[in-house]
Amino acid sequence: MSGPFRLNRRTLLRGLAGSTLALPALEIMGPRSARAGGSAPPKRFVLIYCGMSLGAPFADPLAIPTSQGVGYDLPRALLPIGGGALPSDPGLGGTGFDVRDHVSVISDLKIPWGTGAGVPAGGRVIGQFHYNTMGPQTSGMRGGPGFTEAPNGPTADQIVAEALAGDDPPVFNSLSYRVQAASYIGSNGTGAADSRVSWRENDNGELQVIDPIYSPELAFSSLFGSFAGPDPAAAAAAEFALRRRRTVVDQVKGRLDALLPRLGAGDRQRLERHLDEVQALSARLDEIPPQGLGDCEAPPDPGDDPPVAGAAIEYNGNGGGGAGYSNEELRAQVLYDLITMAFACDLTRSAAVRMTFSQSFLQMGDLIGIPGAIHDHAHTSGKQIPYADCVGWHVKHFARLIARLRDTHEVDGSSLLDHTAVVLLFEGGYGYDSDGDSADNVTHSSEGMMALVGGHAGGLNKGGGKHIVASGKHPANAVISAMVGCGVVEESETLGEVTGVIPELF
Amino acid sequence: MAIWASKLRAARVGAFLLGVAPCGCYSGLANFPQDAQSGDASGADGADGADASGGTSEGGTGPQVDPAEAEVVVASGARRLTAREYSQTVRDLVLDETFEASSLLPADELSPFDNDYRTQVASQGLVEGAELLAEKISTDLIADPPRMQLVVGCVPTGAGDEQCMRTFISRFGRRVWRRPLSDAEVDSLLQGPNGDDGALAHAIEADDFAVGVDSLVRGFLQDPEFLYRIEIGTPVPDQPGLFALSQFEIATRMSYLIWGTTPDEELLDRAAADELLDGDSIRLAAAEMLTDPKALARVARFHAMWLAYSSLPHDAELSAALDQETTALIERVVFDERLPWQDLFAFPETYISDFLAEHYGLPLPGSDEPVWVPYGDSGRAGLFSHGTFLSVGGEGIETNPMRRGRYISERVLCQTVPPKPMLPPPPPVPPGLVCKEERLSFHSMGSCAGCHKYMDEVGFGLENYDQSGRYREFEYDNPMTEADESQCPIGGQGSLPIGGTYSGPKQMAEVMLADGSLSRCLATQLIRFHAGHAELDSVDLAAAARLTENVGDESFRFDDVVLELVGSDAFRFRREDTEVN
Repeated sequence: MSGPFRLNRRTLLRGLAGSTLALPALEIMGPRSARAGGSAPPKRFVLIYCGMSLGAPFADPLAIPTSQGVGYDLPRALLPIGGGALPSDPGLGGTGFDVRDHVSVISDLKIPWGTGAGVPAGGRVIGQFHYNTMGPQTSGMRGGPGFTEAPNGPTADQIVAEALAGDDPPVFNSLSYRVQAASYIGSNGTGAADSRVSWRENDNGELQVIDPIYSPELAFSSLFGSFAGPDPAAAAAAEFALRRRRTVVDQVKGRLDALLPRLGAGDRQRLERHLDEVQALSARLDEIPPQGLGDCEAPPDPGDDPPVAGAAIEYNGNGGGGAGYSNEELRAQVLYDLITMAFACDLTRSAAVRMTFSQSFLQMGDLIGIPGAIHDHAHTSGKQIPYADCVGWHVKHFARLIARLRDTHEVDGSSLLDHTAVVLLFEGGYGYDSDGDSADNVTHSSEGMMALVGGHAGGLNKGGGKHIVASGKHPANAVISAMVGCGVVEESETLGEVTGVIPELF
Repeated sequence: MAIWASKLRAARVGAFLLGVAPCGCYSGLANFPQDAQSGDASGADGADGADASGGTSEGGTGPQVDPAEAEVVVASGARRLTAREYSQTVRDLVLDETFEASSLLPADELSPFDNDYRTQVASQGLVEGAELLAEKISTDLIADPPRMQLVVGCVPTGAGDEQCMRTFISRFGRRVWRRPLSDAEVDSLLQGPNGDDGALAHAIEADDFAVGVDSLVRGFLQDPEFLYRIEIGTPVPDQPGLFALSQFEIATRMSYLIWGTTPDEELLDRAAADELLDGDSIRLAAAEMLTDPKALARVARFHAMWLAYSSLPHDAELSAALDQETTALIERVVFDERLPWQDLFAFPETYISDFLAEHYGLPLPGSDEPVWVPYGDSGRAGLFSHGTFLSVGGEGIETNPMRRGRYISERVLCQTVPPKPMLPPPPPVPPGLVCKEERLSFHSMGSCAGCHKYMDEVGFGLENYDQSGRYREFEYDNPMTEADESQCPIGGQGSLPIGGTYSGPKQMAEVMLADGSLSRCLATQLIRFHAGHAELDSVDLAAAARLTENVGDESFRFDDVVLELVGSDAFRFRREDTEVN
C-alpha cells in the first residue's frame, strides 16, 4: 500500500512540458530530500525468521552464551557477531562482523503449548511442530492446528509498517523477502505452502498473506529499477521507457476497473487485491528517486538470479548436481543489502525476511563446509557442531545486516542502526518435545528458545548488547521490545495475546 | 526414447476418435440453446456491444441446465496461471521453447495440485514479477526479428503501419486472452488510455514498429485476462450462482485441463464456429487434443502431482531415469496402447536401462538405453513399483512408514485421516528396541489403532522398498553409509484402511484395484484438478461420484474419464465461488 506523494513524476513531467527529466533539478523538490531540513530520521524495523531450532539432540546447543550481561561470551553459533568466522566456514563470504555491542541475545524463551481449548494465549498447538511456532512468535497469537503456518493475527512487520507510515508514507509499505529459494523437500513437500513470513489485516479486518519476493533480481528491479542514469541521453531514454511503462500499467488498471463489476463476490475480491497492487505499482512509477538522503544510492544490479535447484534427500549434501542449494549465500547478501539501501533511501521502513523454510532442507555444504541439510543435522545425534554452524550461518547474515546498517548513514550523519530494530527468531529451541517422542533435550521443542535483537531504535541496547536470560518469557516479548523501540505499541506493549517487553533491552 | 514419434500421431488421432463414445446421459442438451454460449468475457468497456465470445446473441429464456447436472457443477474462481502453465503458455505465444518463468513469479503451493486458486493471493511480487517477466519476454522477442515476424503475422510497411499493428493485436490478443477482441478493445490498445499514448504512438515516436509491438506484448502479458483464467458466462435462469460458459471459456477449460496451456488457433476456431456447443462436439475436440504431445506432458504432471513425485529428491541422473521410466509407462498405457488406466498399476513390464536395473536390484537388460523388461516374480508391477512413487514418505535416507502410509491413505485412496488427538505421552520405548516394527508396534494397539491404521499400518507393506525404489531386506540405520548395522529385518506386511493386507507394490495395487478405491480416488483427484481447489465440498464430491458412476471403478481408459468429464453438461457451466482468500 502506498499513500499519496507530495510531488511526483507525473506532476514534474507536466511542469517540464515534455523536457528531458533532469534528476539534479529535483534535489530541492523531491519529497525524500525534505527531511534534510531537520526532522528526525524515521524508525525502521526488520523481522527475520529462521526455519530451524537451536540444538541437535542430546547435546547442549552451542548457541547460548554462558555469561550474562554486556560483553557476553560467544559460543560457536554466535561467533559471527563478534567479528569471528564460523570455524567450518569454507570461506565463502564467511567473515564475521563485529557487532556485539549492538546485539542482545535473549535466551531461555518459551512458547507454551496445548491442544484444543487448552492452547494458552500466544501458545502453539501441538501436533505439527514445524508449522506451529512461527505464528505465535510473529503475531503473538495462539496458533491453529495442522500443517498451516498461518498466524491468527497480523505479523509484527505489518503492524509496524502501518504505524511507521504515518503522514509521510514511504514508497513501499513494507518489504517481504525469502532467502531460501525453494523448499527442496521434494516428494513430501507442499511447494510454497510454508514459505511466507508476513500477514496483514485488510480494511475489512481479514487476514491476508503476503507472498514474499525470493528473486533478488525482482527485488532490485522493484526498488531501484527506476533510478535513472546521470547522462541526459540515458535520462531521455528512461523517460520514454517510463511513459511506455505507465501506459501499460494504466491500461491494466483500466481493464481491471472494467472487469471488476462483471465478477462475482469472490472473484471480485481476488481481482481487487490485484488492482490494489497494480495501483501501488502505478503510484511508484510516479515517485521520484530520492536524492541527497545520506548514503542513499542505488546498489549494484545483481543481474539474473542464480538458478533454483531441485529437491534433495537430506543427508546427501550438495551431491546430485547442487540439488537443495540455489546460492542462498548470494541471495541473502543481495536481499539484505537491498533492505539496507531501501531504508537509507526511505523507500520503506519495515521489512520481513524468511531465511529458511520450516524444517529446512537447505543443503549446507557450500555454506558451512559440512554437507547435509539443516533438518538432517537437527535430528542426528553427534551433529552438535554442524547444527551450531547452521545456526551460525543465519546469525552471520543477521550480523552482516547489522554491520551494513551501522555503516550506512542518514542525512544527519547518524547511523541507520541508531534508528533501527532488528529481530532474529528461530523455529524452535532445545528441550522437551511435546509433539513427538515426549523426550527431553531434543530439537522439536519450543523450550530453550533464543532471539537476537539488534539496533538502537528507541534506546534499544543502550550500554551495549547483553545476554539476557528471559526465564520462560515468550519470544514475542523480544519482538514487542523491538516494536516499542520503533515507537510502536509503546503504551500497550502488546502483540496479539502477548504483553510486555524484555526490560533489560532498554 | 523418442516420445510421440510423428508416425504414431496419425494413428492415435484415429484411435482416439474411434474411442469417442456417444453420450448417453445428456438430457440437458436438447434444451441447451445456442445463446447459452453468448456469455463473453470480453469488452472491458463493452461499449460496442460486440459478442466476442463466438456465440450467438442471447434471446429467449436463456441457458438451461438439466437439474441433475446442475447438482454436479463445481465452483470455480479466477485462477492465476501456475508457474508451469505460465511458462508453457508463453512458449506457445511467443514461440520460445526454452522459456522458463524461473523465480520471478510467486511459487505455487502443492495441495496436491499447483492450481488451487484459493491459495493464490495477489501480491506486490506477482504484479512486479509479471511486469519484469513481460519486459524480458518482449525484449527477447523483438531482438529476434524472424521470431517476431512469425508472432506478429504481418510485415509492417513502416513504423506507423496501423493496419499491421491492428492485425497483430487481434491475432495475438485472441491467443493471449483466449477469446476474440472487440473493435473497441483493439482501438484502445492501439491508441492508449488517453488516445494518443498507445502502441502506435510509441512506434511512431521511436520510428520503430517493434517498439509498438514491445508495448503491446508487455501489456498483454500483464493483463488480468492473461494472468488469470477468468470465467464469467451467462446466468442460468432460476439457478442462482450458476452460469453457462461461453465456448471460448470452454475451450480454455479444455486447453488448461488437457494441455496446461492456452488454446491453439484451431481450438479457438472451433469456439468461434460454434463447434463447442455440446458434449459431443467437445468430446471430439478433446479427443484430438489428446493426440498432441502436450497432453502426455499434462497427464504425466497430473499423476506426478497427485502421487507426490513431481519433485524428486534424488540426484539428477537418478531422478531423470526415474522420471523417464514413469513417463514411458504412462505414454504406453494411456496413449500408445490405450489400455485400461488401471494397468498403470498392474503393468508387468518397466522401462529401464542397466543403470536403473542395477539401482533397483533387478536383472540387467544389457542396454545403456532404457528398454522394456518384464518384472517377472520380483513382486513389482506398475507405477507403485517405481522409484518416483516410492520416493514419498522418506525421512533422511530411511523410509518413514507413518509418513508414507499417510500419503497413501490420503493421496492414493482419498481417505480422511483423523487429526492428532491430545493424548498422554506414549510410554518410553523399551531399551533395545531399535527396529521400526518393534518400536512402533504399540501403534496398532488400543486407541492408537484408530488413526495409525491410516499410517504405519499402511506404510509397513512397502518397507522392503527404500525411497528411491531399491529393494532391501534390512533397515538402513546408518544414514551416511546405508548400512544395516542393527540387522533389523523387514517384515514388509501392511494393511490398507479400505481392508485387506498386502506386501509390496504389486499386491498393494491388486487390493486397491479389486476394491475400486484407487479408481474412485482418481475421479476425486481429477475433479480437484479440474475445479482448481483442494478442499472439496458436497458438490465436488457428487461430481466425482457422478464421474465414477459413468465410467465405473473397475476398468476404463484414462481418456474415457477425461472425455466423460469434458463432455458432461456440468463441464459447460460454472458455479460461482463465494470463498474468498
